[in-house]
Amino acid sequence: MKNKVNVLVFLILLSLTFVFTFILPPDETVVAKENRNLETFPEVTKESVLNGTFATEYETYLADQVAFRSSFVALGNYVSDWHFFKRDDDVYITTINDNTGTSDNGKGEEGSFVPINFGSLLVFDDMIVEIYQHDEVAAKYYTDIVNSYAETFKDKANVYSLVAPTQIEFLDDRYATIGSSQKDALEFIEDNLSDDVTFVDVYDILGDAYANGEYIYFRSDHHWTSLGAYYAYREFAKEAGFTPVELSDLEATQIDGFLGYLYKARPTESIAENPDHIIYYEDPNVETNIPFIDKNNSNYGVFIGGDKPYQHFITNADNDKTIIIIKDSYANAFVPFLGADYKNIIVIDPRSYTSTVEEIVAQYDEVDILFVDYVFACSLYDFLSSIETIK
Amino acid sequence: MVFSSLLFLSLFLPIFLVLYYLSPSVKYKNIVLMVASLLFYSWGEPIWVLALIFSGTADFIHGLLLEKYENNNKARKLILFSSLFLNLGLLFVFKYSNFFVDNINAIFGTDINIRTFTLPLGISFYTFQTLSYTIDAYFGKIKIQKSYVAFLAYVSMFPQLIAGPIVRYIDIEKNLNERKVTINNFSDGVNRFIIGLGKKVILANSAGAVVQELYVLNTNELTFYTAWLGVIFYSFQIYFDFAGYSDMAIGLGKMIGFDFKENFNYPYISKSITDFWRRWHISLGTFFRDYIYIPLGGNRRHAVLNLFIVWFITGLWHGASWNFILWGLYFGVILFIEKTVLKPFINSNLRVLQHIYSIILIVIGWAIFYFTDMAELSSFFVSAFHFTTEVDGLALLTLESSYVLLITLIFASTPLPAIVGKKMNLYTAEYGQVVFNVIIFIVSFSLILSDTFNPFLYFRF
Repeated sequence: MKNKVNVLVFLILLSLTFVFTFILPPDETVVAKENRNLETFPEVTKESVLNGTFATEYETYLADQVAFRSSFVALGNYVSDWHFFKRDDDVYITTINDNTGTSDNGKGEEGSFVPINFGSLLVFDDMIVEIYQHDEVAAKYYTDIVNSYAETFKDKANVYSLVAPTQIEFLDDRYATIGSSQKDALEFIEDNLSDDVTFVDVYDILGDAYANGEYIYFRSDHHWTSLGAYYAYREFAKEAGFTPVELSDLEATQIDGFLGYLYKARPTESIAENPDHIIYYEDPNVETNIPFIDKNNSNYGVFIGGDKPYQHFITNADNDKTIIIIKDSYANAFVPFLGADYKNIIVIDPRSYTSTVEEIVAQYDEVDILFVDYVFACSLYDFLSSIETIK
Repeated sequence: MVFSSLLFLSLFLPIFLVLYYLSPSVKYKNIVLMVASLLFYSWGEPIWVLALIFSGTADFIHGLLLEKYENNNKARKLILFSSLFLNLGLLFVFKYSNFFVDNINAIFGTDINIRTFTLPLGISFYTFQTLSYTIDAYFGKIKIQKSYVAFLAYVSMFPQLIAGPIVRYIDIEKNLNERKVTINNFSDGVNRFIIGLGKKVILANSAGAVVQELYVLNTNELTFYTAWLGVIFYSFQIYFDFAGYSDMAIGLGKMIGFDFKENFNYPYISKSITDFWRRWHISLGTFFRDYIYIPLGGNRRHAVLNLFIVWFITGLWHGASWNFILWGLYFGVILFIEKTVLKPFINSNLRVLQHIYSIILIVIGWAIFYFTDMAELSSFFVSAFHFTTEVDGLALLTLESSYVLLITLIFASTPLPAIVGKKMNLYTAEYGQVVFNVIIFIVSFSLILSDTFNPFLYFRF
């Protein structure tokens, strides 16, 4: 009797999984929360079936079809969080399947994410930060590439490298010692850059600002805020020899209720209760052909509309200077400050840009080339090789 | 396809069970099993299913030939060697050719380039299974299978296809032609499948996530504490992953009337490394014992040499990389020492010391197994043996956040849960097992859906 019941219950469970997945309507709350559409049925081609991409995509599609998915996901998270990973509600480390990479086009669209490895996140209080792992081979690769740009464009352009540290580095020691030292990583990069490259060292200015409690990093996103980017901009101005615009001369606008990419990767209640806000600055004296600020956007994509392969901003700056920024999404918050300093601001995302930098450099006289990345990007081989490719 | 996936649980398994039990006779059941298994394999790997069919067809024909030339010893030998050549050749081309050429290039400074392949799933398992058929047929231990469908159903049988256990033909010969499933068997199968699912999805994946968290550091940045914590959690990850998969295989087998042999027997309570290898991946150990060690002469002729050959091959079987060979030889050396110098200790009654001795050597073994890059491996050991009294932030945080998991893992790797479970069934609730199954199933299903961390460890094998 007992065995009969056991078998019967198992068969009922299996039938229910079938009914939940294939018959009952999908649960829309998850996608609503993640700000995306339900996955659509993947394309069936001979190639996609044979190389297995159809199978992978179909399983992703299927996961979206499960009725009451949000409840299952909540239970799954509850079990893995509460029971296994969390000492209490405060601090834990978690692993996500795709590295946040550097790219969030701000619209929650996939495609520009760089799935590399397993990213590790540290979650505590109302904050999520990525844990940094230094990769010396990759960092050397980064400097080799930047050096080769300086070599190639020796007489035509000044080459600058700006590598941003992230929030975890400036937390107190208990957390800052988790993962590799970014200070050492940045020193390694600076030491390996050739004399033809100007290294824009933003470590101290960001560290000081953070120590003063200034809001230079988001708590729910891996990016810096526009204030963080502004400090970096001031350091760059010093190196490039122009007078930076003062923050007090800019008009600030605040967007409340911002929940960033890291939150989406690991929804955490304490952050939902206390979300980030975005402040963007506009210079009333600057006019551009395309706006720096995408006002349709209410997340990090507000800055230059997210990651685009190629953008050319023409400003009313009173000079003939051109800057080419080869970047990850950290540069997005940085670019709007340059409006008064450069006539041409050309922003390139190497992952999706298909032409060459050489072509652009040939068209202008006074050219600065600036690499803006966050330190994690210097460990992402695919990203780095894309920079190498577009030279 | 893997068992711990939404597609398997919500579509493949229910439909398979329905079709299987609607089939009137063993003949039709074998057809359903074969077709389902080939689909199971093809999902995501549609091309390499051809290698599987090739291997199965080849040995099926070799079997028929062995029968045809029953009285011709020369021909029979030739047929056996042909099968060995084809199976091991297939394995070599797909799994080892690249490694082999890399080493040739490294040693002789040559620059040979060959086509590289992605490893067909489960190839190390099914080539061994088909081989076992031809070898046993050669020695007359089994009857020749006349039904191509039945034979292919054996080779491709999805429960054990991609991660074992290595099921020898001889062990399921009877089942293949005639099998009966009772409610009790099916119920046992359900229990086994669900406990395996739980081991994989709840325990192994959780342990694996901790490993990922700790090894976010480069090996040279690991401290004494993070290095060892990482490999301890990895030891649990690989055990529960593998044993979970074997449990699911055995359980699914029971549901359709096959009795697979046990593959794990609480390996972490071993009293010696000799003992450990009687408890870990039993189907592999006995395969090597019966098809390599004993034919080479076993204990009787050049036993030491035989021992090292077997352990070299055991290492190599796990992957085409030097660390696996090192891992195999590491155990070969320990087993040799246990047979000689340490014999008095192994046979003594110093239980506690024996357990400590064994578990330390096993865990060190997993470190060798984990780091496929030799430079990383040596830098790991430099960190791991650099003792300091100062516990770093990451180690502390990991311990603080994962000690419940660690205790659960230790507890679950001993026979204690089974003992407790038995008591619960007997003395408390009659339906305790049913309730347990429902909880484990729902939690596992939820974890699969929340899709946090679900790696598949056997792609190398």
